[in-house]
Amino acid sequence: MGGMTGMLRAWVDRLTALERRYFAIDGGSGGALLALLPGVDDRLRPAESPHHADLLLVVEPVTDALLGAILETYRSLARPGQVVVAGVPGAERYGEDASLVRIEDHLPVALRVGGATTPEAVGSTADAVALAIRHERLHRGTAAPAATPEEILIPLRSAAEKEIATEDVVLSVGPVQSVAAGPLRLLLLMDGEQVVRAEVRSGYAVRHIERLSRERSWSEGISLATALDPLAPVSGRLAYLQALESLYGVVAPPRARLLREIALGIERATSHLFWFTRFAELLAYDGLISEARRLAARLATMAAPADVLVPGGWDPDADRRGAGYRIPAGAWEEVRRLTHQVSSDRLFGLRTRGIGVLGADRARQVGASGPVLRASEAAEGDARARALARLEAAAEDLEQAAVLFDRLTDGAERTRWPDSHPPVGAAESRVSGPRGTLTLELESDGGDRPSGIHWARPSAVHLALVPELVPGHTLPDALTAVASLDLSMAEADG
Amino acid sequence: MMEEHLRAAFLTLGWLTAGGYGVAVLERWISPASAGVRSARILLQPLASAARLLRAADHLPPHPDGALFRTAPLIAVATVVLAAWVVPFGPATAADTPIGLFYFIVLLGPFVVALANAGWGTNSKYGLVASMRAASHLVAYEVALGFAILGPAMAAESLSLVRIVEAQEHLWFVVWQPLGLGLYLASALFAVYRRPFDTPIAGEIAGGALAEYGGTRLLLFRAALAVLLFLTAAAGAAIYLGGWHGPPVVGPFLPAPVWMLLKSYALVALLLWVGRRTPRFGHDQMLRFSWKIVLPVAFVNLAVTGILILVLDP
Repeated sequence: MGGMTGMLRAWVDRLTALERRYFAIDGGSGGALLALLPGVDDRLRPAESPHHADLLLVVEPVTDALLGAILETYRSLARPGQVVVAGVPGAERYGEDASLVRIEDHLPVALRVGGATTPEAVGSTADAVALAIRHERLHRGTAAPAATPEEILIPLRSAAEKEIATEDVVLSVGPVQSVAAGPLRLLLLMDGEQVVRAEVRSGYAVRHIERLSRERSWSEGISLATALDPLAPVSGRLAYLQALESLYGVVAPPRARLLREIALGIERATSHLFWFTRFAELLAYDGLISEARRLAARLATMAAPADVLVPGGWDPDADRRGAGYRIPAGAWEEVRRLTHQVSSDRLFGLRTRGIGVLGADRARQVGASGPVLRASEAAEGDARARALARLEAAAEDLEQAAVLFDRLTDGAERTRWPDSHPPVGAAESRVSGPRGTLTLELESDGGDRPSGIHWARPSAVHLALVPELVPGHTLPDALTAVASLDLSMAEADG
Repeated sequence: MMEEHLRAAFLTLGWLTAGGYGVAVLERWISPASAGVRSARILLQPLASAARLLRAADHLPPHPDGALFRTAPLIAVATVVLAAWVVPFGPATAADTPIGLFYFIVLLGPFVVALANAGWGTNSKYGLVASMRAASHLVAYEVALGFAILGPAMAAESLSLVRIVEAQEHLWFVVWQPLGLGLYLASALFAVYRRPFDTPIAGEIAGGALAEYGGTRLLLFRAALAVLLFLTAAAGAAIYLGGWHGPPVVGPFLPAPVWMLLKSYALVALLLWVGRRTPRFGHDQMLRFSWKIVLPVAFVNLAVTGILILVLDP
């Protein structure tokens, strides 16, 4: 009898392994991974609700603030169910003092899949996650401790503010949501399905990058800058290196500067395509999702690991993959074809035209940059314009990267780096990242660590626009407007 | 007599199971997640999903309206089983009631009640939004669908689905009422909660009316939704594509139920394909589309059909 039960259980396990549903929680670095994962294996499908899923996939880092939401989600998971953690552990990446949580201390984690979730590594990490999940047997799991609910008070409208006597409802979207890469909570005051007012609660992905940078050495600061936006590591690292080089008075050789520009252009293009994949998923536009995902995965193979950017230049030995960074001739043409398809797609326009309009003057006034500013200045400034601005920028970046590659000449790739600490002084560095202009102000008092550091992060600037873009829209349109800003919450929270 | 009833009951269950399972397979085949990696295991995936849900523990949300929450999936299943009673999959396979078409349209209404109850019963804000969206679907599809089916009823001079199929023995209605089939399929998309009109169960509200369901109850809902799509397509095949009759030039070289099954799956595939090629629309856009585009075109179609019936007597 026991043998028969065992056989039956084994048979059911093999059968249920043909389709696994996962519910994902992105701690801040999972934007690219979660965009790629549904297309890796047809046995893995995302679930809309944790009650529909038998796997909870948590992508690191996990902060104190996000832990409550993770515990609550685990309690809602269908039983039998499992917890799978992906990405580089927070403490390993940021250090023990970054207020990050080791998820194994709070939940029974069945699997930890290592591997970076940065653009150049996300393909192999997605494959590893899919492979690991397929072979994992489900079990009943254990109860999770109850999370302490977060108390928030939202003022409702008075009777005088309403046209008719209806009852307002506060809808909490997040912190686990699909409109931003990383955890974000939107508190929407709704009159029926109309959003009246929106409040933003961020900080679920904060890792205290600035504080840690002041406490650690200059070289450790390079790693922290790389991790500022896990979805755009080259941008952060380049901004820090350029500021550091400026403090030292060191100039990277021409060949290294060209290679850095190529890497940055590829990163921007890759990020835009990953964003468009997530945007198409939010719109539930299957016709665009497949093509966007395929292009994003292809561009990711061209992306450089951020480690090749070193103080004083470029270190090709740090790229074990040896990508070469030559852009295939058809790459930007494919992106252009997708751009043309999207721009002439009336159905896409029906869902995005007139949504989240940001005027050019207002965009400049608040300090918007990148595709958000470009869309406001050159077009209507709505969600459609921002989507097209990103796709056009991706094609331009790829074509420009190819032109730069053809201009590469032989020469040194690295300048000799001084042994001393940076002299007293201040430097500012600006880098055009995927989400906009990333600015770093770095100060040195001659010591072994920065005396002052300040990041101006485009996601933080754009996040502040949410309360003015969203009111007046229906719920789906409000979410579309927020998603069109391409917020990286790890970058926004810092 | 008892044997006939039992035979009819088992046949109906068989059709429903085959139909719902086929819809689940087609959904996975057409899904972008399967693009490039389609394999034979897609045929077993609905079974895997069902086994997974059967094995899952049942879940009750905090402070639900217990009666509404528990009965909603049962209402959904009961609706599709009752609706299947009048959809003919071959000669003498369905109840030949004189108001079969009317009965079928009316039976779609309780499915709205099931979804609305599901959303309301969870006592959550997402559920509340979902239940209101489900009610808006009723407003969108009821009148449009009613007018879309009037043309064949006029041509067959009957509301019986069996009579309508028999009237197409030599010429399918789609040949001279193509607009009618288009209107029927557009209205059907509102009624079956599929993309692009699936806002009551949309991912943006974490699954909406189904967000708090798990285990067996979720399985019942998913099965009912799949069967609803199949039945609506099957009714469309009966109303416009000649039902169990083979194409006039080809003749009946396949058994009647096989023709009916093929046509039903063809319409299911068409509806799923349309859903794949369009983004999800909000319920306000759905209502606008239904009342400002589908309904006026349905009036025109009705007038044209009436004139053709008078003039041509096909």
